[in-house]
Amino acid sequence: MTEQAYLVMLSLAHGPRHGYGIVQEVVTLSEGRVKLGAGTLYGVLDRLVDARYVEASGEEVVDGRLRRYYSLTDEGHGASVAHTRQLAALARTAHRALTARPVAGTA
Amino acid sequence: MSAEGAGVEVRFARSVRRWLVAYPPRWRRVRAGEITAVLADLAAPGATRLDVRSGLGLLRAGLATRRRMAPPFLVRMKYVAFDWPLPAQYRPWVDDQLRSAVPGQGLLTTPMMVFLLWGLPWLMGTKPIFDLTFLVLYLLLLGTIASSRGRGWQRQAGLRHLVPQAGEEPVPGWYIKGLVFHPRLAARSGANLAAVFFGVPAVVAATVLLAGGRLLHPLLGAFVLAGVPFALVGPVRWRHGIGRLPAQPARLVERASGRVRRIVASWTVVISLVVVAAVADDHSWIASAILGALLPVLPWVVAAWARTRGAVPDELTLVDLRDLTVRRHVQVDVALPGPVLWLPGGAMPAGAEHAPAPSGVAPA
Repeated sequence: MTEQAYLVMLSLAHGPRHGYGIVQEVVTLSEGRVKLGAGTLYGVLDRLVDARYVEASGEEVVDGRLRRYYSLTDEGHGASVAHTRQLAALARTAHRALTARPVAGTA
Repeated sequence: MSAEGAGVEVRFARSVRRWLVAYPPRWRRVRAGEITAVLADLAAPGATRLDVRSGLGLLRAGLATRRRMAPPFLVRMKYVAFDWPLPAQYRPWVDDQLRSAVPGQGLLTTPMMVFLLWGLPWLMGTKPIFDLTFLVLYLLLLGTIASSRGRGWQRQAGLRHLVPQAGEEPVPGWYIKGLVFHPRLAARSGANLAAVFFGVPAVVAATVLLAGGRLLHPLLGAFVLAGVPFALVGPVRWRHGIGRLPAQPARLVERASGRVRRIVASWTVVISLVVVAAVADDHSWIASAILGALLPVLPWVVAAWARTRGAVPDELTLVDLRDLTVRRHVQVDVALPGPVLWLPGGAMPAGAEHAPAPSGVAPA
């Protein structure tokens, strides 16, 4: 799972969002580091929909603009949780590896 | 919803539509309004065009989407080279192919193509394919034939490639075999096209033959005379028949679309060029033969064109004028079998041959 796909799935963890809402939430989650362009966003959404991790969940017109909402499926939620565990395990392993590094000059 | 209808500044929406060109047509039909709205939200207030960086991102993503939606090469070849129906997951891709202006599939599979590519040069023998004039005409002809796929072909191809095959469950949101309207060209629009198609090459042929010092063959006069009775009888029968047209519930009367006009214009240009090239290359018999094929129909076409200059009912079609001339009465069209979209949540279309599926997943 790419970082962008993971962030898009996390952005939907609290409920359905439309495309622009996802872009904003991804910026917040990544602390400004990841800014999805529309082309990238819809490429990621297409792949997640194909994988049945995300589904379209209604649309509405706001201020004359079409908003299609996307939500996380149960499969998508499960995949997000599993990926988060993997990342957490990796972070713990990385932390151990880095703290076990001998300090220069003490060997 | 169309991009322009998405509450977005019209020039901005137009700019986005241009940048979306790399996406597959089906994707654009479903998502254009939505992505345009997102891009408008991301753009600076008052923007009238999409910035180049975002546009390039759309081009890149569009190409990636096109690659992702296309079948693998070998699967694609089954359709392109052998016209085999593909598995259900590739039908959206096939749908795009059938709607495209020049279906690539037609270039390889039409028997006419096979004949033009290999049979004709072989029959002509002495004519090397590397002759520039021949090659240009040849390519023009290929392109014109390939792009001349009309509604009838689309309908038949849709039945073969888009609707569920035997043993498959139909799904809402996708095509199903049903009944479609019988499309017919409106009389005025059709007569205009016929006048161009038959008139222009005939005038070109007569002109180049005379200018080249070739006498018009006396037989050509006989061809014209053969067509004159229809041109005389037609208007008489139209006078009585046009006011008594039968109801046509299964018919869809249309004016020629831009696509149809382009097809007719292409054929007119190609035939005229063939005539000019044949006379220039001392094969004036080709020009005479083409002229001979056009002349018997031309008087009737001129009569039909002249009649449709005046007031005619909207429901009158070119086929009706032909039927009235030849048969004295107009045939009532029947609905045709064709692919019909089964709208999600809607009832199964009339004439559908499958029982409704209790549930299903619409294809992407």
